[in-house]
Amino acid sequence: MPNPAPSPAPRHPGTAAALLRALLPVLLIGVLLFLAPAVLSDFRQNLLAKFLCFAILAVGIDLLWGYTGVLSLGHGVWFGLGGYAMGMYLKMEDADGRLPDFMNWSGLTSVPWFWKPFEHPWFALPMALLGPGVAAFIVGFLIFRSRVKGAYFSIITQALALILSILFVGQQQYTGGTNGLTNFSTLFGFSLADRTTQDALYYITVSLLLLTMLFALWLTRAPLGSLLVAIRDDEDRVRFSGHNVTAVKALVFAISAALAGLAGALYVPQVGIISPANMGIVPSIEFVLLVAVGGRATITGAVLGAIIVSWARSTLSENYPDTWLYLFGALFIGSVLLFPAGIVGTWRALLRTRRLPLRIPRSPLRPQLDPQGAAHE
Amino acid sequence: MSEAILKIEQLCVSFDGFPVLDNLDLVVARGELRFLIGPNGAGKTTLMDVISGKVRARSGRVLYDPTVPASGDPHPATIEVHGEIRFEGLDLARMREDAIVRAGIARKFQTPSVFNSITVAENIAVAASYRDRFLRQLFPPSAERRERVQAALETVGLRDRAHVLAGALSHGERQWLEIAMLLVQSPRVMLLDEPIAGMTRPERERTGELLHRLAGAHTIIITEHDMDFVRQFARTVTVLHMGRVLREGPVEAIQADPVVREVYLGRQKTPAGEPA
Amino acid sequence: MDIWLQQLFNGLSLGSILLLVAIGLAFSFGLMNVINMAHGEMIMIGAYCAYLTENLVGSGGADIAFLLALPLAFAVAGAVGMALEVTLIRRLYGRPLDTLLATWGVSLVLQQLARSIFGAPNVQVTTPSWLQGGIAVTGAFTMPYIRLFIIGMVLVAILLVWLYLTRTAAGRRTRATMQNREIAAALGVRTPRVDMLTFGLGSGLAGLAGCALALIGPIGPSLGTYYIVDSFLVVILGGIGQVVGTAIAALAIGGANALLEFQLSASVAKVLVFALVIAFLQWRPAGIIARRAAR
Repeated sequence: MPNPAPSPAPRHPGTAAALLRALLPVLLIGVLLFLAPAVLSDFRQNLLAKFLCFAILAVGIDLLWGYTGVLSLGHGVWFGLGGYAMGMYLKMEDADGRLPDFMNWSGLTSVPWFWKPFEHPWFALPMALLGPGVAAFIVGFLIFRSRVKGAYFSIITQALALILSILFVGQQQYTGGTNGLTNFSTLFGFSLADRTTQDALYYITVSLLLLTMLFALWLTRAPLGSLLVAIRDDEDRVRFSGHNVTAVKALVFAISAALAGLAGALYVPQVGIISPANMGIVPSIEFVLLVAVGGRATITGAVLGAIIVSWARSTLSENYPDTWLYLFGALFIGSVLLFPAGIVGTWRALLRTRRLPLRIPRSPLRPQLDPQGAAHE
Repeated sequence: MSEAILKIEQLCVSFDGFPVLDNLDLVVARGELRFLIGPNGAGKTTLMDVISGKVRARSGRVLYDPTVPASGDPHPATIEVHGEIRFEGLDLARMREDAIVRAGIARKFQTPSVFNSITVAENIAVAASYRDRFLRQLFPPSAERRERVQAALETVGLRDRAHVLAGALSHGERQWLEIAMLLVQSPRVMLLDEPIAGMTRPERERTGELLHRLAGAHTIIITEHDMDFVRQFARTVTVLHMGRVLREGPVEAIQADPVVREVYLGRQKTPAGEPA
Repeated sequence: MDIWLQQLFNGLSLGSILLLVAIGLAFSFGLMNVINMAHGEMIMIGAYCAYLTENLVGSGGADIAFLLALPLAFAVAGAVGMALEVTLIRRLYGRPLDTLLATWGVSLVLQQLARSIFGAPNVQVTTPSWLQGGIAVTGAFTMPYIRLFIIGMVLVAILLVWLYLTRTAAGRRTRATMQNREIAAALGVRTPRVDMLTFGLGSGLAGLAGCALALIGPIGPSLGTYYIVDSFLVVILGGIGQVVGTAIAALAIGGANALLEFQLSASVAKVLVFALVIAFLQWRPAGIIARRAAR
């Protein structure tokens, strides 16, 4: 990895050309996505909208993992909390003052207090972002404060995903149990079955995805971006530079979780269901794969990875469910072992050096820079 | 001139019951350039660890880093720290490392540690932004900040390398970069742990001159093994031995001291030059 | 009161299984700084070994079949573990997060393989006749032979591991490599071999745990996933690479799960145990037994 003296791609952040180069993919993706409904069937468009929700979430994971080096295996939780916030609003809207259907079946006689505020969209929608964001900040702060990091942080977040999904299954009267929240009919009074409602939701999703990409580009190109990469490289040295690493990591975790919550909130009205199956261990780690395949520490990579993997998954898992699981496993192994830079990282390195990068160009993992890290002889 | 900026009293540090620093007292005056010397195991680096907060005075509370390969050095299970480290009315022995830096004490590590995947200029900018709030870091740095980064780059002679990834620097350049990362924070006290290790002779000369320029405005505490360098650039020298202060005084007096020569210079077969 | 004793006893046997699984995880971390997400599948492999031997020996031989299954489970899971170490984990040395993702991929493939070979529905192992029944201590509190056997088996396994580590040359090499890989290598220890063997040993122990689990519940392709998260919590709570801490943590988590589950619902119990672990880490960030590590 140690580059021979003049570094291949010196970054001059702030120059107009660099800015333009960074914005070009966003522009391109935006144009393609706005034109896509013209050639896609309603079914495919709906599917694409679902993938775009995952893309928003993938950008959040990329900020946290690709840039800051913090791997969360529990983002299903934040996606789920955002989705449930939206689902609770939809349920309350449908119930229109009466008891939501599943509560009736589970024998509740009145709406629980924590469900009440969700009848107001002005409460439910901000909660879809703030709920996951604040919860992640608190959890993250406590864990990072104990200096639990690396793979240990990952498995703690994985435990969180397992436990919360079990809790949501167990508390059937409040959460709808295994079935989750479903059977929604209207959103803000518009029928969800209407084509125009779904079209509007599609365009809203695309716009929010583009905004998310711009937001992430801004974050990573601002001074904060270098700080995040510095934390990824050597977080203790950042501490000895006087930065409060615990707070920064907790805040990035919170931002990432809020984006996952946003994705969940957009997912629910378009897919029509949110259940514990969306927030457990397996979906959480699938979200990480989106970024690993697309290319970590590149915003475009996260978005492309999300669309490509989700598309492959939905095509293959419908037709050949067994094959898909083998392929899924192989993707994890292959993306890490053979193409750690992901699609975008590999592409960039090919353009630059005309060689396949067998290592990650801007390594997210410190030990990789250690030449002895390759093999232990 | 002789007003104390850092005052260490009765400092005891033990690793697994084994004393590393033993009732150590040390007073450093404002603007001083103080050299710490002593044979291996004298406690020089541990002293810096305690001042900079890497080792903290809360016995029993130890921090672990799961990402460090377990095959590294064996680490003590219990660390006990007693005593006081006074700096501007603060007791450093009880503060977190980042708070110590914000209070005005910066440290350079023995093996240069810089951030490999960002550029040289970005490394310095990260260090410069150490007091910025989170939201401030979302916006471009002020013109004044950019000038300071530029000035630090020029001071250490890395201006031409500003946009190179720090991972591509040579060992000596990494040392310079880390010094620049300290400089840009203009700390009141700088702790430098063997800053010239791995440098060529001209580079050493430049470092020594830089240190002389910086002393006065900054207080500098520096550990060094290279006796030539010490002789050339030191004024006041503190000799540590077995976790205690053995001698303290002007470099000439220290070199002439028979006890010091016994424990330190005498032990080195060739004390890098003629005995004084 | 009897009910409480019963729960505590169940917690003890759950804790001992967690311990057997966690020891392997603690090994791979202590030695290679690696988190093996496919470790749970070693449990699954061990359990299917019990099922397989029973089928091969025939329905009449359930009594001997289980005794044969124990060494087989250890050997098969150990071999899979060694193969995993050689083909994958050593290639990702120094990249803990990537190892985590790659071994997760392995875990998916292994689960799907089990599904292809044995089918998705759960299978069952017949309890050997000599493990049926239990000792009635008081009215409502009986100690089933199965759970007593599990606790005994774990104790024996741990004792053997301890003897291996402290009394054999290979064990000393392992401990040397754990303490300082470079120095051990410089002194002539073949560290790649140590890695492989230790990884195999840890996997084999998980296989044994799987064999034991076959006695108390149904066997399915995703058997491992039910135990692996708790085992990870055990490793974190116990203190990384600390055998004594791991043992205390395993019993604590096993006991807490069993007791809280009885008091509250199973789902709330899980949440509480997790919260307790996080709270504990606030107080002792390095776990029950701390090991100091430098930057």
